[in-house]
Amino acid sequence: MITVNHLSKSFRNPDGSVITVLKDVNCTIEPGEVISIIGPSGTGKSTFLRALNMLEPPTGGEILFEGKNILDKRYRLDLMRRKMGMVFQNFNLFEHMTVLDNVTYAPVRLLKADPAKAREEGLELLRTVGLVEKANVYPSQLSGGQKQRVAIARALAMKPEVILFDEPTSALDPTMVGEVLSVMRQLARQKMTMIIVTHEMKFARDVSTRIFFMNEGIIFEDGTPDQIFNHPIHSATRAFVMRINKLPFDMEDDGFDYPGMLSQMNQFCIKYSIPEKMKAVSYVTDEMVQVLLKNFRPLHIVLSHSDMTGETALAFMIKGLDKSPFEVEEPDPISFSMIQGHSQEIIQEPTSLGFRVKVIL
Amino acid sequence: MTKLKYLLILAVLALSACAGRQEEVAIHGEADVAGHRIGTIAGSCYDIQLSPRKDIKLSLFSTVSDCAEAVKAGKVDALLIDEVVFSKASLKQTGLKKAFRQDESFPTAFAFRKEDSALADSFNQFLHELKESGTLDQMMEYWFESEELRPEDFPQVEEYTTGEPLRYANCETIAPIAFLAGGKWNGFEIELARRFAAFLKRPLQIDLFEFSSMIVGLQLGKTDMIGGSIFITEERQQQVTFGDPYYNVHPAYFIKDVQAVRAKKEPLHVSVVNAVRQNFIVENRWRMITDGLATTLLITFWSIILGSLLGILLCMMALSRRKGLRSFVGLYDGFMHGIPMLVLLLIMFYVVLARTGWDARTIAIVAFALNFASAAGGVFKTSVESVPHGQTEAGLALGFTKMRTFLNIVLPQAVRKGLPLYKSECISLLKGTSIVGYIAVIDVTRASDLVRSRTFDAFMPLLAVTIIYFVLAWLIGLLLNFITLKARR
Repeated sequence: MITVNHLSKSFRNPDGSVITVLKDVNCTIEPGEVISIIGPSGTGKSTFLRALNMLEPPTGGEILFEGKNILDKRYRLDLMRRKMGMVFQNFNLFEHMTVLDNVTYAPVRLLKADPAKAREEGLELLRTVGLVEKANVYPSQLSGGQKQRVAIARALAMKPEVILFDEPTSALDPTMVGEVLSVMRQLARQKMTMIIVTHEMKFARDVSTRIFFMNEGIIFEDGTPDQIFNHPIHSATRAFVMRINKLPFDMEDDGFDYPGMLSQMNQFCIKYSIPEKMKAVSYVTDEMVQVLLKNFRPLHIVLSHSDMTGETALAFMIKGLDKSPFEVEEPDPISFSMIQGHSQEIIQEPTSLGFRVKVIL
Repeated sequence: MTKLKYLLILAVLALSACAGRQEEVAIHGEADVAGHRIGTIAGSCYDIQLSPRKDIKLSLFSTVSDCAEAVKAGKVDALLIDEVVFSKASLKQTGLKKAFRQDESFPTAFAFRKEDSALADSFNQFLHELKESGTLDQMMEYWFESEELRPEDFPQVEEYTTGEPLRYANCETIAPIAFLAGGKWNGFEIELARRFAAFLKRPLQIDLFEFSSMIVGLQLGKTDMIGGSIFITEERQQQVTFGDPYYNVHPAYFIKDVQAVRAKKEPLHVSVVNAVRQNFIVENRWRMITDGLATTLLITFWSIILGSLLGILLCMMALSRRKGLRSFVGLYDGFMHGIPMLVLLLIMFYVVLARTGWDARTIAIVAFALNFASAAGGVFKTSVESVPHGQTEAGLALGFTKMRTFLNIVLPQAVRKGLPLYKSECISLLKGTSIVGYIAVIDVTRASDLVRSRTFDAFMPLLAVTIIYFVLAWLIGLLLNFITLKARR
């Protein structure tokens, strides 16, 4: 239904510099698919979605809708948009109209629907999103979640072939996210074609038929929820879906601010709610840097924590080394056993950059 | 209710202002003038005569009646003006009296354009015949010597209705030279002009100019013949051609007639009833006010319509992507903000549109529309910009074209937000039109001046005008609310 080839988009700043948001996006979307677009913020997810209905015209490439390039100057965008609904982060309901008028306005004006019939259908749509009793109320009297449900009903009223959702729950109070997602789940069950930019990982995993992981202006990885969440190909995908937070340090020589690093590590533990691991982090770092690896420099140290699995790890990488440092130099047995006592597992592995000793805490 | 309170306060203030000083000013001859506050007409020979004197305090007014009121209110001690300006009847009404008259006298005549000497020649021939037949003497006797001037006694002159009109402009609004009574011009000079028009077998068109702008108006072709006790001076003779003088005028000083004012004390309710009768009923003076009201409404209405259309254009230009158009709007707004409305009006009348031959009301509409366009354009732009961009995006995403998104979705919301501002701009415009008197248009404010100059009562006409503007402003608000309500359906 939609084919995207080499789509790119760049902005020119007022100072003349150019920012490229979309580098080279390629994909095909078939009818009945529910596609979630995930990825770190600032990687062009929303820009890509908004390019699909030309609210944000791309600067290069092509978008084929029903086989026709919508970037063509003569292409009737208004007719295309009637078939491609959109739900915005900030709802964008028409504030001067009642809820029912919001839903029926476009069908009556654009599709020349019979007003009485449109009204009936509008009420029916409001019933499916659970807001039929708010039909004659103005949007300002609704909560965020209710507004977003009305916005979904408004998009549905045009009987679109596909609906784009631009972070539909990001502007909502956490208590209202559920009601909106439940309406979207219902739509997915009815085989509505949907393209959703979202940060709700569980929702994306449960509802989508396919997931686009976007990073650095391209679709980094495209696969089923099972692939993306359980067996990601790229480490960037893994880091993102595991929600791994990292704190890296480069220890070049003796001038390094060692107490400063320990203090930052403690703050990291507090920030990610693992104060119980503070002690272990300090012990392991101390023993490794001061005793076991004191003759190995430069040392690259990464403290990481996954919100998803709760796993905390300290990785020590010795650049340029191709075998374990403990083979090069006999480790101090007391120190080594202390580390073992504070950790679940010690992984020793060679990498392309050097040798890594990873301690899972 | 608060509005009523304000009106009451205004009324009390105005009444208290009426109570002036009660001592008679001691001016009996030329020697007594020094040390007093003297009033006269701006740009007149008296202005020129008195300006260099350091021993008096000179105040300049644009009409004789304003000046007379200042004397009555005790703001100036005496008024120097043509002896004939006040008939016996109007002296009684003004509560002034003649202190003394100067010995020298000045020949007074109508003036014509330099290029139009043919008209001056036929006037001289006409005046000669008038003098020969004794009619001029009769006219002078009637207008200057009658104890009372009643509309039913005014001499009737044959009037032509077809042919090119003879345009005559005057600056007086005071009996017996030239004044409005019962909605019609009358007076000595008016009769003279009317007889001359009849002599030419042409209709007569009468306009009211400011004294200071009469000669410029004549030179620009805004009129064919000017009057209003214009003395023949050498300086003026270089600019215009004078006809033969029709009389010689003695300047005279007038002071407040304290005894007459004292004698007039009446109970409050009687004086109010009398004031209403004097100001509005006698000579159908209310007709002047209603005619003026019609003019005010006409100018306001068309200025709002044209100005709003132009404002829409300016708004579109201001929102356009082209930098040139945007900076044009910036310049235009800057110009309109920076120039007083009155100055713009005068520039339009005397400079830009001077030679178009358009009537003064049309020029007033153009000037006000140009000014209103800037204000309205600003209001439109702010209103459109106040509608969040998300509304446009939602409209586009549903499949409305850009144009329909603007018309169906953005505009209705912009109108709601902009209406209060637009309303206040319209009301400002309405009030702003009160300056059109400067270019010889008789609107409701000028009409109240005219009534004032007949009755020498400041309070009633000004009160009437206050109420009229007040009600009009309120009605404009209602009307705009009504229109937007209708449009929303």
